Amino acid sequence: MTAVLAASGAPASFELPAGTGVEVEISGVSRSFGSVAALDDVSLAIEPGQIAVLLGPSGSGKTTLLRAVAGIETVDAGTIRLGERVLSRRGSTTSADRRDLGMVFQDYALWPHMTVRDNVAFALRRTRIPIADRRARVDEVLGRVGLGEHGPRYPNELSGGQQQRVALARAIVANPSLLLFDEPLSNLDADLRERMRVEISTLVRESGATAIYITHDQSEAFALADVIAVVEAGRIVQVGSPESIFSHPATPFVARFTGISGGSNGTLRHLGDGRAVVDVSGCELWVTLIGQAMPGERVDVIARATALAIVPDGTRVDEAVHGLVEGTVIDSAYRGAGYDHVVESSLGRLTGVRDAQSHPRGSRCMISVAVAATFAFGNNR
Amino acid sequence: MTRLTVALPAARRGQSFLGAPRRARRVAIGRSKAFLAFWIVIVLILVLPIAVFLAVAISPALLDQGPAWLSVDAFARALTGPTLRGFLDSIVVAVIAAAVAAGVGFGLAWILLRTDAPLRGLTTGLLFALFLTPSYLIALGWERLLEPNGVLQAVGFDPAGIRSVIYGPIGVALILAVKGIPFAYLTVSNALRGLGREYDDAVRAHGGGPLRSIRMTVAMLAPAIWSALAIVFAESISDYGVAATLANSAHFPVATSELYNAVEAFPVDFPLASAISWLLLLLVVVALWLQNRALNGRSFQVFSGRARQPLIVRMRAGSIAIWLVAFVTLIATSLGVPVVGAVSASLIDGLGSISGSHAWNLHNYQRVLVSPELGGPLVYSAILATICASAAVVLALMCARVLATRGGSRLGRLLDTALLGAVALPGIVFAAGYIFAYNLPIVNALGIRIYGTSALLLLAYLATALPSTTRLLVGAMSQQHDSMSQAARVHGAGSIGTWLRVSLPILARPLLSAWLLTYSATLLELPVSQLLAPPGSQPISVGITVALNRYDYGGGTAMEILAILSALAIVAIAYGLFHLLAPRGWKRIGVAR
Repeated sequence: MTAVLAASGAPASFELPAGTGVEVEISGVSRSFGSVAALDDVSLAIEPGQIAVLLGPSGSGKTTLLRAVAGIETVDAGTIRLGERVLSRRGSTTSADRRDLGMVFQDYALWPHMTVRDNVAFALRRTRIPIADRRARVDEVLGRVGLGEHGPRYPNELSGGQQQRVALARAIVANPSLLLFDEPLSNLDADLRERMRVEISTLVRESGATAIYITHDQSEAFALADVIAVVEAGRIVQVGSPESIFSHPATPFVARFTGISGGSNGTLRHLGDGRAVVDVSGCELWVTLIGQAMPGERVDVIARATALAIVPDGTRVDEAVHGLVEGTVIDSAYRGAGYDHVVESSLGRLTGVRDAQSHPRGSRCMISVAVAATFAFGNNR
Repeated sequence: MTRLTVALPAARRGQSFLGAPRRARRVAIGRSKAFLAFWIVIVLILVLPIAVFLAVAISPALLDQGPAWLSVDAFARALTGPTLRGFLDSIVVAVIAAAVAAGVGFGLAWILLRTDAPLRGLTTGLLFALFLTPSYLIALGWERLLEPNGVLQAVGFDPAGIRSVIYGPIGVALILAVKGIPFAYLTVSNALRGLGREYDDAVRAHGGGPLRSIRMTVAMLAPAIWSALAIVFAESISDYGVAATLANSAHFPVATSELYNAVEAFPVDFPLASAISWLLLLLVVVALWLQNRALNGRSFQVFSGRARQPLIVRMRAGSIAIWLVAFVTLIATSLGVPVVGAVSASLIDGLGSISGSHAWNLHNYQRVLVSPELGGPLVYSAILATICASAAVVLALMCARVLATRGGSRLGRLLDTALLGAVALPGIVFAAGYIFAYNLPIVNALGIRIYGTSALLLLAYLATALPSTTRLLVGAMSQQHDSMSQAARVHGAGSIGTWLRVSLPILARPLLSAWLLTYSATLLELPVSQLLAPPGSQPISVGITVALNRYDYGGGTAMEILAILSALAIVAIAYGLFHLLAPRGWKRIGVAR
């Protein structure tokens, strides 16, 4: 799909592909509120058309960063560039209405006095397209989000999921070059969340726009992102593809925030080709070593749930691929495809240890631990 | 292939946005100027007159009101003789009024929210009407019925026995209590609404009976009950309407009437008036402090998102009969007597004079409509109330914007404190402060010569209206999430467009309500009007009291009735126009569904 874009006030028009994504470059951005540094020298580059997810806990600064990109927040230092245009730098900010954005807010921010159609059409005002075309465009977008019949309704007559779709329609209707998502799924229940996640992903990729999406939910981030930036205490601590962040978390924080089963401290015994043997409470295991550490040093050992499985007693494993630890079952929960167990072991309390059959509480069990998904973090990272 | 013609926003036209810092700077300078002007207005109308006036009690020499630079003489005088008596009387009647109002308010809240009692809608309407009716109008209604040569005497009934009871502390406390009931009801009912059924269920599930359940509910509502007591005490202690009417007629001095006497004395005793104001403020602060202390850290937070609908008690025939008796008593003592008193008095020709015909007709209304002396005050007050309500809504909107800003700035907290202080400040203190501050030689030397003019009266109206108008708007403003405006900005609207298309529609109904409430309150305002009315112009409240003081009871009450009817007409017209003309979406905001 191609849109013909005519500069306002200028007779000449030129063509741009609809919703052409724009490169976003955030460089050395800092922002403080009083003595609290919400953003501390943050840099991030996003390719045109990519979906970048800012993943971090509440208060980590991801919302501040998104708002700075939107022009709602100013920056104390650094620059925010969209394509060739510098939109924010210290003392100078292009206002939000002049940035060519679409944004989906956490609380949807639908205007209660406007109908669904008016809410969506609002974003077309700046484009100055003829009224008739506007209506057609709004109807088309409402149809795409499955709300073709809901144009005359008011937001409070819609369900949460429908309101979310209206917010999404409003964001994409003007084919902006950049779409921002501020934890848009956090108010929805689990089932609706997954469906909306798929819809957002589909619509954003169809639109071709660059997107920045913030969430504290790692599964949402992994499912949506082309690139994930993990944010901790106002800084970006790791940027990479979902796969690279899952398989090579840069810090214990990143590992913990992207889903672990449990962890403990241990002493590094031997080193070998990106892996190491660590002694955890008397049990020696092969693990993937992140960063630098020398034999004898204390290390943090963290295991992802995908690394763990309950195996029958007496099972023999290749120590270079799997280790074995013994534990006591604390709890068991049925999950449809199998059972998740909580096991007390030398690796600490491990959650989400999967097996096809249930093991009674208090029983002893053996757990195989995959080397590739068990990490030791040295102090010299 | 779909082709869409889209005029590019400036952002896509390759314009240098950071090349527009000149525009941004102009906007920033404009904002700074508006911000400065706003604070100058706040200081001039709210802070300075009161601060200067309160300073004179401590340092008379500072403002040329005596030789001493630091003195407690005014306080010593305020705490002796008739002024002390006034304070003691005020405290006694305010305590009684607070206790009665809190009890009745709690009972009404329980009945209206937790039972299926009949006439619940009518009771809510009655409370709202009572909330809007100035205390002096209630007192005047009682007076018209009971006074010598009053309505009851004109119809052949001698009310001397009842008069001896009502013309004194009991009558004053009764009217203050009646006036306090809506405040107590609102405070308790807000808390009761948040108290879900689960607390009842928990008591029952753990072996408690209905009595135990009620005791538990009362304990959980204790913060609200203490607040109701404190609020009604503060309202009663600072009331001037009853002081100027019934208490005055009964020769029952109270603190606010002593303050009025100090300002109206010749020579004017500003240090004494200031000291009385300090003590009035102190009493209000003490009431709030005692409330805090009684709560001892307990909070109002009985609300929870999981609160379930409470059980509605079905009333039996006996309970309904008791409720109906209570309802009739309430309506009679609160609005019934004043309305009957005022309406009947306005219909009796020559009431108050021995020589009149005492015939029942509309002659008094006719006189008000044709006589400039009787009709002029209503027109004058209506003009001032219109200007004041409009200015107050604009200023209150700015104040509410500052107060509703998330996080809040230091200036915002300062404004909040100033406005809260002003809410606690009796209207009569405001009026005295204005008389004093705008009559100072330095003010004249600065070229501000508004003493004795309608402009000063208007400013004082504005100052007294601003705190409550702001409170009305700040709630609506706080409910409007920042994200609403941010969404408009992000999707292409400028700041003015965002205000007009997003904020104004959402705030339209609260703005209209705030305007109407301020208009009605200003139209019938008494203390400021009485102290600051310029020579040759009488606001309606002053016109009414002047007519009554001339024993023209018929003319005075006809003015009263017409003033109230005109206010009701304005309210009806305004809401009617809003209903007819406002876009459909605007009308949906704030309507319960």
